Amino acid sequence: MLRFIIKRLLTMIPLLVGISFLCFLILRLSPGDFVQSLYSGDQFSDEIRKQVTHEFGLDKPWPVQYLLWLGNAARLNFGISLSTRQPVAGMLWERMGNTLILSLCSMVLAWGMAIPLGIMSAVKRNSIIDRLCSLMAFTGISVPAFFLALLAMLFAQKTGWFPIGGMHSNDYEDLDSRHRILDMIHHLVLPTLVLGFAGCAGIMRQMRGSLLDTLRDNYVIAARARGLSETKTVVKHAVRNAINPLITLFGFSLAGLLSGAALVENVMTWPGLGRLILESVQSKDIYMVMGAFTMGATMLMLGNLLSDILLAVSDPRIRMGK
Amino acid sequence: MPQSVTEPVLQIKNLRTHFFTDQGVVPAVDGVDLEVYPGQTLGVVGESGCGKSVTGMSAMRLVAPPGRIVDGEILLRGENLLKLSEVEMSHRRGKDLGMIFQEPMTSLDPLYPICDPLMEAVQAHRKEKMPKADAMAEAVRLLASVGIPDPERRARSYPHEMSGGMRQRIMIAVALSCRPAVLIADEPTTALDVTVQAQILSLLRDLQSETGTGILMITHNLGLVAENCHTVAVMYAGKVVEKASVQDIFKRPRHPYTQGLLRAVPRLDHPAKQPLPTIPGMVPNPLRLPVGCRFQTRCAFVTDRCRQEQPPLEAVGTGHLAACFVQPEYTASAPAHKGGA
Amino acid sequence: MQKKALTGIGLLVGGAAIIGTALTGCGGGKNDGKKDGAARENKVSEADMADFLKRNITGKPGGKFNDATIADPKTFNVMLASETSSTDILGLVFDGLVARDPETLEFEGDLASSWTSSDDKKTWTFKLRKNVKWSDGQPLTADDVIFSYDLVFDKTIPTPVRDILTINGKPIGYRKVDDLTVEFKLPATIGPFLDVIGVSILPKHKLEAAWKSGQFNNTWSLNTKPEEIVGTGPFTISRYTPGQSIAFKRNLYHWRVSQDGKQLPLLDGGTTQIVPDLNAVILKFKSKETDYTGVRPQDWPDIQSKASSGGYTAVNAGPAWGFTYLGFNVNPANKNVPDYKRAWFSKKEFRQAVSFALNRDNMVTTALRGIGRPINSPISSANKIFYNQDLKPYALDAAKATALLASIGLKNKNAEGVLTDDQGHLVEFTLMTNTGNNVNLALCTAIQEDLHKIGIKVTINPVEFNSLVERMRKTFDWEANLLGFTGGVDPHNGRNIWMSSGMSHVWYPKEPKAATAWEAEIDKIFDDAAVETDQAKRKALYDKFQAIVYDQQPLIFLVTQDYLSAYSNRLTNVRPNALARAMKWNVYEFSEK
Repeated sequence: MLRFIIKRLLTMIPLLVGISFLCFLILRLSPGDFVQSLYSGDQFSDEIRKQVTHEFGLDKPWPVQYLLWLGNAARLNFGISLSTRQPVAGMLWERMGNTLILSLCSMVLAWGMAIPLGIMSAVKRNSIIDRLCSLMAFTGISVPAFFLALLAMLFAQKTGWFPIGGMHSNDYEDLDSRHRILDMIHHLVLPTLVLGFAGCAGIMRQMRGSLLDTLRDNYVIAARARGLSETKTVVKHAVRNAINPLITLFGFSLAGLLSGAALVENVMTWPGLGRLILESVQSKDIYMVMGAFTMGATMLMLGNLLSDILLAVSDPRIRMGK
Repeated sequence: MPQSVTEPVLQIKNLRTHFFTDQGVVPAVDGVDLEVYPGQTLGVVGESGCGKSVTGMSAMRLVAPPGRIVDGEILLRGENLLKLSEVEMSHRRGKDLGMIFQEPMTSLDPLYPICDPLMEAVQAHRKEKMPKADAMAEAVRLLASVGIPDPERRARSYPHEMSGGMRQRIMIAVALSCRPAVLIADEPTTALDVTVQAQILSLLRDLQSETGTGILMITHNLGLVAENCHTVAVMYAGKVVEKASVQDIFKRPRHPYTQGLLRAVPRLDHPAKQPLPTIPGMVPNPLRLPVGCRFQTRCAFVTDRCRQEQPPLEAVGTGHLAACFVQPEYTASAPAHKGGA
Repeated sequence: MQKKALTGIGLLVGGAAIIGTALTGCGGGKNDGKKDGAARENKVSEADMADFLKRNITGKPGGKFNDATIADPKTFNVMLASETSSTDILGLVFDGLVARDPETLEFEGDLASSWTSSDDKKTWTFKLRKNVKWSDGQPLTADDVIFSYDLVFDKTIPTPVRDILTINGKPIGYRKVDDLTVEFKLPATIGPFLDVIGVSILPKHKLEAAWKSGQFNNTWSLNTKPEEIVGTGPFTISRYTPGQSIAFKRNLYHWRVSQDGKQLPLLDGGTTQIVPDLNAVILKFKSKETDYTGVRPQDWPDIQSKASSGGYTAVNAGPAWGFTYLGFNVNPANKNVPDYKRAWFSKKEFRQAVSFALNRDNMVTTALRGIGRPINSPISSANKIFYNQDLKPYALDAAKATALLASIGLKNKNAEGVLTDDQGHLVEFTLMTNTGNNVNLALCTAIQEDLHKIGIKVTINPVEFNSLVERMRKTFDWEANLLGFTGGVDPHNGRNIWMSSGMSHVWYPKEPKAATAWEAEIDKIFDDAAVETDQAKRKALYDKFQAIVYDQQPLIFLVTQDYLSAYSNRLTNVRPNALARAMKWNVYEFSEK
């Protein structure tokens, strides 16, 4: 198992290099560049544009630029953001916590709702509960998350029960720690519900479908035949087997933890990574984008690795190599 | 058949299990009477779709929707299982009634070691919690009793590491772990190769003589029946058409269907290049069963009465029942088919 | 099982409501502020205040403002700041020597109390206000002014203000006369001199060390401790939470004073939230999380109707100072436009015909929802100093349009009703605009329909911003475009658009020399007005310029929106202004009721 993990970690490195190179290439090839967009105003002379280009090393041939970036990245220096002149790593780190809080809460909500509801739907197939859950799931899958976010914001404004987006109140810094936590929770409720609802839908359908299949498997019938109670049969045997495809899904969900739901964050004014990355892509803040994508790719691969490990832990057939 | 003074341990009376599908009602089991005696094996034979498996599942009350038991009684030592609640029934399963299935390869949960179902079975039917070590020891003992070599070590291996034959042995061990009064074996050797089949059946015979369990053996294999069963019931289209001791069934079958089955068994002295005898025609569509005897369309002896009335299952000799108005004598060669394809 | 689940859902909804209402009370309230005016801290003595600027302001001290901005600032270094997200914030912290009052359009002294110029207008002397202190208590002196202009002309600092202070490659000269006097010596006269000499003054004692060690470009970036950012403006930054908000607190040393002797600003501080979504901005305003906001045309009817019940005032502050235009590309560097088409675009008759065919009133109704007006000049009609009053509105005259097109050989129509020239080329073009702007798209559609009526086929092509900039600046690969420019008071600010060598000379940027006689004439007008110091003569020159473009229409002027805004009745002295745009342009006058 340890060897397996180490091998996988080692293969991540060439993968990351490849991804970062592709990202760099796409950024360079797409129209526009940073200096052009930020310093395009008439008040800037050509000299200034040349000077800024030179200052940021953008006038070097692009393979050289990439290799320089790579060399620095290997030492965990991801360069500076062209628009704010601050270290990329620092800016990502600042927002990372915000996104992480929201992502974790919504992930807990999504999975916490999806698994039990999926199980109930499968066990009580075609009952009222099943139909209600299906309705909820189809709504969650078809309605885009940002639209739900808009509705949530409207709801907040009309009822006044919740703040209109944002993560902290204006006077957050003046509150004591207990009120700070309450303030944060107050702001977290709506975005968590939006993202959780959207995320829950797909997982619930997957759980339901997977469980419906395993409920018909022979070992489930055999378990009943030897006298196990219905609950124990379903939970210990059917659900446990039905979980496997969801473990893979879980790994992917982890990857999404930090990439952030950019649109929802935008609509609900959540100060997360999603917005930061979106803005930097639009303004072609090249090192920022590279840093963000490298981080996203790393998370994806770690997520995959984790789900592979979990699968191996859960399923002896995989663990022992079929 | 020995005139047994003992009562049957399992008595199925007039069982009707119907399937309520979108196309209509399928009467998979339509008035079936069976008896299993302690220490004896009842073989239930018939083609696919005749209702024999559903009969077995009904006895365990494991019939899944859209199927439902609509009538009849299932008496286990005199107690009607159909009157029990689901929870009470789950207590009977495993303890008083055991079942083994056709597909040993998929009957064990692949995520747990093979000691697990054994320990589950052992612990499910006890009032107090058994300590894990004891349950494990019992599991090992059970594995040994069904002939698993090196059971101590093997107990922790996983199902995918074992062959089909071994998995079926484990299922038998599980089913018999609490010494049930009745074991229902639904085609237990169909999926195994011939040599393993013999071993499994021999194992079942040994365990039966040890524990006195009555076995309901569901199969389509007449050879198996001849070797392992004491009594035989032949089913066709949801009904029992003939019931007798194994000798009577093979020597003096009275129902044309039974006779056809026997003729269809390949023999070593069958002339080469001659086609094997078959029963002409097909099993009737369960959604559109004919009025009268359900075998009428394939029977060489069909009469007008057969087409109008269903023949009841009545005695044709001591301990021998058949559902036929004609009850022809058995001939080794096939009779000329009269008509009514 | 089902009952349990339904109960669970019910609890979930109920729980959310309870949490919501419970926590609403908890945040310590949204707009609390100390209203205790008497015990207000003030670090400037009454005697010193005697030298400060006096305005007639009523209101009591204390309280806060809350508003929103659309993006994070990019830097706190005002010399490097080039976009509004940064300059809007820093405008509260720094002042220049002079500034134009957006209501009177006159120049006022901010840090300068008075100024004189020599007869030849090449030497200007500014006297600084006495006793002005920086927010850390250090006195403001002429050294700070000299230091600031040293930064402006330092070639290693990419500051947007250098270009306009450089004349024919020569920077203007400046020297310290005494601690409170600075003298500027210009190599040539500058017509809009007071407009360009409003550069923000930075504290030498805080920044000199960084500048001398070559680190100025990295100083006062976003992760600077707020108390380090020292200015003379009404507020200082008290806290920056990235992605969320910027908090301000009152500058206890600020130099503005109201007539009755109260030091300004009246408010104790405020918070600007960072809200990138325009829908959220309106929602926040409606739920009173912010005190004032700009309003989009689509939200205007709703905002207006709910004004009295909502406790706020909705204001239409008149026409915005920018303009939207329809332009044609005559740049020979564009290889994708066939020569015959370029020839049409180059003819005045073609452009005039297009202009006559456009129903501008209809555009105001459909694209601006009736909140705006047609325009006939790049200069705003609200610009009472420079707008040419003699110009008439553009008329809608389809017949005249058709006649003009016929006069240049475009009179035959094909089967679908599209005009063709004598060789059978269809009179059609692609109209490019930016994605994500509904108003521009609506204008394009209106143009498409109007031109369809006189037989010109228009294809609309919305292009993403970066691509658009590239096509307009680098590849010149476009036929017609619909965009806009923002505008200020002095037409000199638009020289890069109207001069033939300018980078923003939309139809043919950076011409090696003027391609037509009228462009040459405009070049001369701008060159003359740049050095003309008699403001009346300048007005006459720019009037002439407006008449030329009115006739030639290299950019066909379309419409401009009105500036819409709403502000809470909680605050006084809020005066939305279309020229200033940022509603806190006079934040030092705000107070709570």
